[in-house]
Amino acid sequence: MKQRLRPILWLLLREYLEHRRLWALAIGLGLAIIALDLALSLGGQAPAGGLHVMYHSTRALESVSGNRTGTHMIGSLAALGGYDLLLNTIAVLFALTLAVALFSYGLACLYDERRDRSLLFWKSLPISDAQCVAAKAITGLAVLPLVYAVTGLTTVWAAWAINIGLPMTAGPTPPMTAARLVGFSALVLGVLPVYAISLTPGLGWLMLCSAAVRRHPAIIALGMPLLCALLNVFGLPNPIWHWVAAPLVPAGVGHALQSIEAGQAPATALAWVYQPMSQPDPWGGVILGLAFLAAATYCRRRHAVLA
Amino acid sequence: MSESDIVIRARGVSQRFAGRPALTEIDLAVPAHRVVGLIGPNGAGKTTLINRLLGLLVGPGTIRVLGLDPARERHALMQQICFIADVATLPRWLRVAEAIRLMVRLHPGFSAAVCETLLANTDIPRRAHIGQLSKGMVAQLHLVLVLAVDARLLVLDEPTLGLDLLNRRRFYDRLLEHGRSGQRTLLITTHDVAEIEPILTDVIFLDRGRKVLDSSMDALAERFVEVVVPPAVLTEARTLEPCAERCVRDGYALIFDRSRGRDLSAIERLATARNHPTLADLFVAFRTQSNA
Repeated sequence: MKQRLRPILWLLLREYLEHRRLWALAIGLGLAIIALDLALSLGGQAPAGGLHVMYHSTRALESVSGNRTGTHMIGSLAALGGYDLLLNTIAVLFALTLAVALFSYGLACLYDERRDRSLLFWKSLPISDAQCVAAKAITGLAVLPLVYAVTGLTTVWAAWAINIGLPMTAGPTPPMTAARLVGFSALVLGVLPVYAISLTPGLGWLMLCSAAVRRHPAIIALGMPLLCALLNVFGLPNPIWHWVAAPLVPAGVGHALQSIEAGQAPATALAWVYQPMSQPDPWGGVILGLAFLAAATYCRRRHAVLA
Repeated sequence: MSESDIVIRARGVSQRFAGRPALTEIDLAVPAHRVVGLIGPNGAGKTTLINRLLGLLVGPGTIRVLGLDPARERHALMQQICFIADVATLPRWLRVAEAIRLMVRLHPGFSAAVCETLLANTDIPRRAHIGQLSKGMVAQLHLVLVLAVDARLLVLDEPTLGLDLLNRRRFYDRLLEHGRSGQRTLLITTHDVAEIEPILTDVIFLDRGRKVLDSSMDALAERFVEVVVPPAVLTEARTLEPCAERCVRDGYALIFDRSRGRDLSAIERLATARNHPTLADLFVAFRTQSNA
């Protein structure tokens, strides 16, 4: 068993090397946010503490779109408090970037090696198709979310430290306490196992498309859910939405965030996220996801000589 | 020869794609420590046969490579063999140094020391991405990587396809220098028959999915003879049913198969030259015969 698992660890290194742009994207995003925050703080242009990032973002949005929506947004954002806004903005940016990274990774991870024929090189090594697919699934379900979570939290802490450390940025709202930030960090890291479970059918579906489709896997990967959605309009059931798309945001995350904002302990917040795990639905999704991954493994084996 | 001396044993191996036969009843017995050339035109079934031997395809017939069933025991088999399936299959996003690092971790038989020694004799930069290397360098690097594996069987499927003459020569020189060391058996498919001929000990001709010749090079040299005759004696020479004939500078070169039992002494006396036919000429002769 140990001998079977060891290559998977080293295949994770392969995934890191092959998809290094995805890791660089997370680090680049974090550095860009910190640099922007630092520059605006040192420049003293900010209207209020952490709010300035959102302020300038919405101003930029306004100038691009040519309307006055941004002004209204700034007004409502100010009511929420600068540091919470900064934290939420960073969290949303990282969540959206992770979604893009996972979609790109899921669709490319088995397709690219067929397209560039490097599949034949990997097939020449004493590693099985199941080990390769397992390493890719672990990367998508655990490693990528963990890297984005850690990078995002590091960015949040760095931005918090900048706003605490530079007196000129003191705004009308008091800075978020370290205790609340610790609670938020614990929630983000604690939710990762649940996220991996929720993501299994979605990533499994993308990897199956990546392994099975001869050209343009994105068309099938998105086309099938769209077709099911269309059928749903005519009253037919939409299993793809129920099993694959809906669990992408784990149930209870919204309540958990509110719980942290209300100053409750991280354990209380995490209970909101873990409670749905006692229901059969998430585990049904895991079984479906594993079936997709098994099918992807079969396709990888079958497509070896078609590359 | 005992069964343990046989590296590849195949019986009745057949394969069909979309109802069309790609391989038909192939039997093979490749002994250990040999350098075997698998030769045939495009579509002859060379790559299909290689894929069957490597467990990348399954189908009718029984195959044992190093005593293992490639389809069912592929993982164990891949620890003892190495293959280059084609040119330019190394991942373009890897750096040279990273490729070595991954090989060390993923292949138990890979020796980093041997790889470094072999790499030192090339001008391949370690920090470069494989995608930045020339096609010839990629082929050299791939060969270095597989030669650094302590494998009992090395399979090369068209390893120099698309390379220029200089790079092909470099590739085979390196293969000749390092590839035959130890307990290694080599199976090579290529179109460049002339370039691998000097290193082969055995040859297998495939044509339209069928094996048309399976012989050692020594036996071939004994069995076939090429004589060059002046045009005046061509008619007489043709009565001895040569396998093939072609026009050359001094007349006509005819290949005869001694196993047919013809008395060739008279024609050999009239010949202006007497040679061992090249593999390329023999291959054309077999192709012509099977077309007739």
